Amino acid sequence: MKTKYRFFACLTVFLGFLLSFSDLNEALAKDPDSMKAANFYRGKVITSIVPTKPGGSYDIYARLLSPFLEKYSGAKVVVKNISGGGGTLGINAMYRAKPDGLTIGNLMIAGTAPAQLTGAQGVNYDLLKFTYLCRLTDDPQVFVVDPKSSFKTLTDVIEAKDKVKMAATGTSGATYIGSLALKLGFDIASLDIVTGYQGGQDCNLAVMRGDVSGMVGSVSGRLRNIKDGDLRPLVVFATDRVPDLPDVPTVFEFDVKGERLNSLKAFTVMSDFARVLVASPDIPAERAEFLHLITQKSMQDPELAEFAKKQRLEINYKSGKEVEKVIKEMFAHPPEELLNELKKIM
Amino acid sequence: MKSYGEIIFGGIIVLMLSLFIYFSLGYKPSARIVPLIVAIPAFFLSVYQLYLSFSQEKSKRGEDRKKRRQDGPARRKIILQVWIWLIALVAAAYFLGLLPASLLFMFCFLRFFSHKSWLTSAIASMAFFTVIYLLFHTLLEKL
Amino acid sequence: MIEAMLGGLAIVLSWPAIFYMFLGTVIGLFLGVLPGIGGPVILALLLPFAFTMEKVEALTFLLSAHAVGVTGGSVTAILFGVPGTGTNAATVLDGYPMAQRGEAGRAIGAALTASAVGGVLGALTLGALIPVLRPLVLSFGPSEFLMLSVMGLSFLSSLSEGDHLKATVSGLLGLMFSFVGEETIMGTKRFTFGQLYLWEGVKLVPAVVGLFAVAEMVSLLVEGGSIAGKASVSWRGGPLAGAREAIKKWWLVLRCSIIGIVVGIVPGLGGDVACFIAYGHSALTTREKVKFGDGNIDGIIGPESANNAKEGGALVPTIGFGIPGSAGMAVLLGALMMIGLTPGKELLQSHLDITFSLVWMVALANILGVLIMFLVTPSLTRLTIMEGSVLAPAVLIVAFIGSYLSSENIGDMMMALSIGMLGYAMKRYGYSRATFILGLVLGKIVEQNLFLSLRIHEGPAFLVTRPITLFLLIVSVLVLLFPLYRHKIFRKKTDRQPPGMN
Repeated sequence: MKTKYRFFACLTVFLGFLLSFSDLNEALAKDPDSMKAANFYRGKVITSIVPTKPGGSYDIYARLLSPFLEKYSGAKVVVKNISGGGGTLGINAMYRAKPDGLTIGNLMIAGTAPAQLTGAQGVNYDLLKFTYLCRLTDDPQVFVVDPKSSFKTLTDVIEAKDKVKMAATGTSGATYIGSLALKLGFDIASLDIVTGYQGGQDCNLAVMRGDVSGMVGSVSGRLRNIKDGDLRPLVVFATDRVPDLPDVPTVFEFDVKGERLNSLKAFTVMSDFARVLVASPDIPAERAEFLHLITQKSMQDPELAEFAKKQRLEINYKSGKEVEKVIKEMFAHPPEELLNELKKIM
Repeated sequence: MKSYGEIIFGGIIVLMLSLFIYFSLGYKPSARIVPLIVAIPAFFLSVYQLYLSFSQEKSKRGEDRKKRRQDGPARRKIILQVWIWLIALVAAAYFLGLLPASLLFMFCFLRFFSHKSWLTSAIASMAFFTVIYLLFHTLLEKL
Repeated sequence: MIEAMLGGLAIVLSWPAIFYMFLGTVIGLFLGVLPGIGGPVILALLLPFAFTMEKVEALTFLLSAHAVGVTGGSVTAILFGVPGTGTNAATVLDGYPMAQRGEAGRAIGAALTASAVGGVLGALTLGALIPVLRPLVLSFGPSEFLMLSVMGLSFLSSLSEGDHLKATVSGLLGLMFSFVGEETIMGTKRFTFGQLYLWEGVKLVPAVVGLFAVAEMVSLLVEGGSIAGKASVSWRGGPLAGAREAIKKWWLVLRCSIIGIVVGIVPGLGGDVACFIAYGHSALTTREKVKFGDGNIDGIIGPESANNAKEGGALVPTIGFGIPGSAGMAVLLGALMMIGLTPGKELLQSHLDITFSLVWMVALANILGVLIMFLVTPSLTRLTIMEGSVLAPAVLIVAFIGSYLSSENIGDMMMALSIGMLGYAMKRYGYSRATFILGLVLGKIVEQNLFLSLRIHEGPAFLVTRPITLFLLIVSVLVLLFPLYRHKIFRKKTDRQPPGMN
């Protein structure tokens, strides 16, 4: 009698153990049909990797998009946060994922392109090899200063005799690269970048407090303070004037040439293609096509636009092909001076 | 023998701090100054503490004999066993995933460490696992 | 202003907001009780659900859950020696010994009452500070943050009851561990040995899980038996007595709430220090005869007021400037923006009633949470009688899951395990884990703010030229040296009392 109980006890545990492997769960529910793309995706699970912890802006965009991807693909989309190494861990994971088209990822060009081009530690991905699905939105950057300071225009800053202190987070962040692009692009020798602030908002406070003179950061993160009169925008990194800041000139409205222009262009491109959706490299062509299609449909779905508007998120679709073109261009003509400066501090 | 353990641990701390100092020397000045300011005094303090533990052990030899019988080798065996179980849990989680590892660990631990019957171990671990599964997989979708 | 206050209350008490507050509170308590899961992890787990709710519902749900996580965590800290949340870590130090003596009920009563009062005070402070929010946050810069964190470190001397040398060594060791990872100023990777995972350094959740959950459960398994051991677990009369004591010591609760609020207001100070600073402060000013670390009830009342008050304080910079006052606030901020409420002047001026509703939410959720916990605790207390060899594996698994969830990296589990070994040895050989955590949390912050201050003010003159900084520096020195002259102060006070009153 005892042995029978023992056997069934173990059996139950063993079965539970097997079922706990969620892959097995999914496998049991799988549709054993043909390999055509649409059929392939039906009932499957697409993993959307976010290289930051939950709650950040990349996370929010991923979660915004996932129900729509589910709608058009017939698959279930699960957002997976892989944080660490300043995003590198997550992006490595996106790159390494199985080339079956079931893993997509959310990445930022500003964080990755300079890292790869300068050969930063831990970078195990190649931006040229990702399957680009689309651009979710752009994230134009703006140079703001303390309204209490004497800087009314960019020219004032260029001509400044004393040190102009800028607040930035880490040496691999957009705030730093932006300040560097500003310094090199306009040849502002007196620009001194103070790194070490905790986040973009901390930099805002630093400027408002008068500890530093200015900073470079996203328009979205500074708009509130600008509207409140706590920060004064001097120039934006964008090809056209930003609708929210119609009176602020772009960097291209100034007379800049050569390598200096290159630095400005490079940073503008990085912020232009801020949020990009990719799939792992080398996935079968028909699946890549399918993902392109569902991404486009999701992004152009009026319900998404409404939802995004309600949550004050910008949506600005550009196809994967366009993103790929820009990446190739950047790698073909990298901003040498900017990269050299970045390499110096490594 | 608690006092021997104390000396060994004191030694480990000294070792850790020496390693911290050693690696700090390899970083550029701005990156190594604060760690060194902390680590060097810490190192000396820990060496002093090690010395104190050592001299205490020598002087308390006689008094501790009773205590030592309790802190015997059987106890050390249990301590080692528990840590091995925990290492196994983390290893299992790494190779199998947290959910399967939780069930496996719970079942095996109850059976082989806590010496519960096969039936009890099975029921308890399945019940526990069900709760964990429902909470973290079904509801929160995190595992 | 009054209309806004009442308007805010109306928002909170309306249906369905009140349902979501209840739901959020219950879930927040439950998650807070689970070891290792608390603070930012709670919000991160609940965020996907909030995504599908309406604006006000989502906010109520998230904020209530967040505000009470720490309340639930105090119960596990006392009953099992496993802090439910990082900020409950200090409560373990005296709460768990009380449980081991069978006084769990009394300890929990005190903890919950202190939590409720602290939480309400924290919320009220937010409300009171709304007019001066902006100048207040603007007057605290890197040099003030530096001094605040130095002041936090100066409590190191008061946390070390007994063996000061060992406590100092563990504090300094904690500081060294905090330097692991990417250095904030220049991005140098220190002590990472090529491991990308270590760039973020020794994270707090795995460290707390290791130092307390793992170490205590391993001790339990090694010692055998159950938590309460041979002591009889008395429930009746226990929690009420504890609650009464907490109310009697209202002055301590107030002081520690202020500590929590200040720590919460200062962004980036690392809210988890609040409980240790409060613990240190309670240790300095206690009149109880029991040694700190052996089950002194002040060691529970202080930290628990502080950690609940902290959340109210953390709302200040979050709402005033959109700068998260704590890690949990960072996620909440995402939630706020997600539902279209941008913090800043707009929220404060045109949506003052919504701002006040947040204050009410935190206050009411705290009270509600405490009431629910009082009901639930008797059943939880019975777990202290349960056999350790059955309870421990369950607690350990949940604790490891908790450490994994904080950033979904298996490395966190390994870190929890390694630090667990360290914590076990520290506990066994008399090294203070409290000072270790204090160093771990504050080390990098001190370094970061030191360099920032030197850069911005171009030299060390800021130590004496900035009034707030100078004040904090003086306080730090006083606190650091307090143990030396504490006896003088207390002797004077006891001399004044007539004999026989002690």
